[in-house]
Amino acid sequence: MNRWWSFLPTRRREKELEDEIQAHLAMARQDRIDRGEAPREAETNVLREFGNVTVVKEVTREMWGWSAVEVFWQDLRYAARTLVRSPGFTAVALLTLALGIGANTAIFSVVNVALLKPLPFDDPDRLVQVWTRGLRGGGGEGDWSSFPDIVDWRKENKVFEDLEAYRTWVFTVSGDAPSEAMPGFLMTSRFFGLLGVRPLLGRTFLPDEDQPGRNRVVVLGYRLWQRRFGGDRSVVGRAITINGSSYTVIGVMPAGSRFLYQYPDVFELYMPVQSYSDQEERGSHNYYAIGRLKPGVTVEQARLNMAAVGRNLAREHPATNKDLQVVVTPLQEHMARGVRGALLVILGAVGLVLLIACANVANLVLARASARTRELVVRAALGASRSRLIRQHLTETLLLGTLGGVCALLLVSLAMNLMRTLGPDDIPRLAELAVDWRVLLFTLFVTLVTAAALGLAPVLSSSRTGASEALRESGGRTTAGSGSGRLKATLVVSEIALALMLAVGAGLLIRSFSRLLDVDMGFDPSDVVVAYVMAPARSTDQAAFFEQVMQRVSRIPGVEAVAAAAPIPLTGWNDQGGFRIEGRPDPPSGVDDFLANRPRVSPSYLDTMRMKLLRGRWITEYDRSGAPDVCVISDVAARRYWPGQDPIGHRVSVDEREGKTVWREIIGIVQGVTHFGLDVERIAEIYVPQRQSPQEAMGLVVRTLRPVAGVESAIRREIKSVNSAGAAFRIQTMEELVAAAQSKRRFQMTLLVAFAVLALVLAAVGVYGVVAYTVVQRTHEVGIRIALGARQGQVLAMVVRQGFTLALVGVPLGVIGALALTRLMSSLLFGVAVTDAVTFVTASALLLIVTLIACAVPALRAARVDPLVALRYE
Amino acid sequence: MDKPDRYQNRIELLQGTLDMLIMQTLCWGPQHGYGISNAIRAGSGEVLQVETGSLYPALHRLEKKGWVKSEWRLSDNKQRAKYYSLTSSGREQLAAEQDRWNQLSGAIAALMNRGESEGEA
Repeated sequence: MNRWWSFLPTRRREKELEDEIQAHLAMARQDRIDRGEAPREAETNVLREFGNVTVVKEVTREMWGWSAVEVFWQDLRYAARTLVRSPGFTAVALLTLALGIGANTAIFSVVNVALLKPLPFDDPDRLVQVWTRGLRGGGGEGDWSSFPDIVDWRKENKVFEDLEAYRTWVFTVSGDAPSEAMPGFLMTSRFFGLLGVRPLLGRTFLPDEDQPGRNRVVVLGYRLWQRRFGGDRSVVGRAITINGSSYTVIGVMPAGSRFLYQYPDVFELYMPVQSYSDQEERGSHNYYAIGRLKPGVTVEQARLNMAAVGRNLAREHPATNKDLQVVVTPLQEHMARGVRGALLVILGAVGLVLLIACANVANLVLARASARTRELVVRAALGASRSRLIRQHLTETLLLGTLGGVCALLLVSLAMNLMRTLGPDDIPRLAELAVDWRVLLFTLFVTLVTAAALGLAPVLSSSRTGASEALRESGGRTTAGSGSGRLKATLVVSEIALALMLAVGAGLLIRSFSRLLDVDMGFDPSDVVVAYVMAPARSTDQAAFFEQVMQRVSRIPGVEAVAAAAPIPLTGWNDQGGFRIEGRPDPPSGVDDFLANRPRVSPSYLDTMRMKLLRGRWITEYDRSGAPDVCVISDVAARRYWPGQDPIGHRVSVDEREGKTVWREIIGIVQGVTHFGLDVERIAEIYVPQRQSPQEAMGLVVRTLRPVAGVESAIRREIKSVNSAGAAFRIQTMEELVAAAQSKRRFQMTLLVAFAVLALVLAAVGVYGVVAYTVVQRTHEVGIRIALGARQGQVLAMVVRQGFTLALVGVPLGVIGALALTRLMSSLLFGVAVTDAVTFVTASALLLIVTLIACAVPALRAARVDPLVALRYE
Repeated sequence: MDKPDRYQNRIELLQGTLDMLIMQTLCWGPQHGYGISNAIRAGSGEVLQVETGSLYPALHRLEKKGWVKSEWRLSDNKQRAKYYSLTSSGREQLAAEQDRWNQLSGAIAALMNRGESEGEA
């Protein structure tokens, strides 16, 4: 009972005790004065009679019995006072911890949005991506499928509640304002419902609106609605012209609803698939399928079921499906499939940084603990229990860790802005980066683990030291304390090893990136502007339209050359498909398939892109419809399909005209280009004259020294002047496309290099700390040595040797660790082996140099020790 | 860091006895620490001098055990002071301690008297 008061704030109870004693003194004084003592005399006597007020208070306080909360609070205040009293230590420790924890939290927050945070859809766990994987390779793995296949999956599967398809498409919106081209989606009608995405205004599609001949309707993206319709709510129900036909706007999606994260936010139009020619073609893989598993069905069950469905389809349609395999992946995993490995490696790397930071702070704590040994011993001698001392110490490191965590969160918001801008497009949902509960929980966890690790170090080292021993040790200054000294050395050695592992990882990525920069792209991306251009819908002669556009654009001042091509390298746009070789049977299943990328190009493409013609001739003005059908192949195609032969003069087919196979004579060989990415293996290319195979959408390639901003409006204007219904979109430079193709590796490299640098700095500080500390400890000894005639060089060597020994132990350990760990990052490397000797040697040398530099300062200080001062230093 | 001697040893020596004396004093009504110390000194004919370093820890200990309770009041001289008073469980405790004390002092007295008479013999 009467426990209530133990929950009173200490401060108030403290005040009551003070009042109680003051009342005692006042009454005693009054009594003495009443008895005739002089006030001054009474005062003195009262105090003497009472005894030491502070001691009385203290012994009384002990009776209160502290509740656990109060003990903690006391320890906390004590810890805070200690930290404030040594601002240098506190600042360095906090900065180190904030960097360590902050970097971890920042990377975790990226992992969080990309891999962990549930997708903002209804029951996101049940959403899966369903796609076909060709057994044939090349051109990067596509995750698309054919529409007829998806329709059959829908009918035959037993695992999906719903299975919907979509594809990307380019739309030209015209009518009420100047015509404008933009990418968007064609989707089956229940697609929005499948995800549980709801419109801001109006409605989404009715169940049968994806059937041919139904209402022509369209849903707008928020930004398109704002930009083109000024956010007018009455747009719902209005008719707009898209690709030359009239469509009714039925709804507007809310802001920021980029629910297909892999697409940039310029995709702003949603239309039901109604009838497009490729829906009939089982061999044409342009659609993506997302399914919702029935409740209780696992992904594994879905995989098995869909694999069986896929096998049935392969039996029914061997011509198109014999090599295809149906794959089911959880939607979130699928969205992040390109970045998952890299993110986990980066998370691991940043974890190493935290370990180093911990080791560093632990070293600081140790150094301070030995400086405070005397204080601790005195407190122990005065009756502070061992558990109490340990608890107090743990409170101190907990406070340090927590403050570090708080500082880290401040750093994280900065880091998040950096990530949002630096992060490559293929990390999904970077825009959603935020400190949410998962990130907070992670930070809390990391902070507590860090604090515990820090707290444990000195406890471990000091528990071996008895009180009397410690008193003796702190009394003498001749040698460094051996127990904690060994622990400190161990910590520094592990720091060096960890830093080396990071340096090797970063080095491997740097080497990969430089290999990437060295890749011969097969064309010259500098000073090239790319624009996507749509021919007017239902244009009678699309090829002529593009020719006129090229002619006009070439007359813009500052433009050196203009070409048109579909598709264009590095845009993510491709026309990968099979081809046939005259006189050879169509390839047997699997192994040696005839697969090529088949760009349609204008004659000026070779020169504008500065590609290299290796043999034969390039496409000319005369290769137009009516003239003999021709094509140019790449060196990759020549080597692969005509090994040891001259392909020129052979005929291949990539397309049909009026239902008949078109045989094209190979007239030349060019050096292939990096179409799918700088680090993706090149596949065969077959260049076809656009005049012989007209396209609705083409890329305009403009070589000009003028900045893109200068020519952009001129290009748009010239297109309009050819035909007001023509439109351009996404005008960008080829260099931007190259940079985007490098961005993923650049991002990985930048992060790892940043962490490695951080690790090196921390390790250097660690080495410096330990060496400098022993130099201070050995000042006396050094003084004696110098007094006895040791030369400066000898003293210098003695100190450097100590630091260097640490490195000589740490570096081999780091090399072993790196050999073990870099294997995990083999998928991130390009053109470099995980055991790349150059990287390992350079990183090791770097570590040794850093260690030397870190030793240099204390070594010089030791060499300059004045023996007289040193000997008087007791 | 050097701390002066603590009173701990002397408290322990007096503990129990001091607690009993304090509670006995509080039997007559609420009293503050100064008053208790005066009462014990006067009541023992100036023999027992209670140190403040023992008195206040004892009072706070008794309060924590729930044998006494405290409240702030004005004294006769208009001095605001913390008055302690006995709780009902304190009364029970006092009775128990008095019994024990009587047994103990009786036993000690018997032993001491026997020693004396033996010595005389």
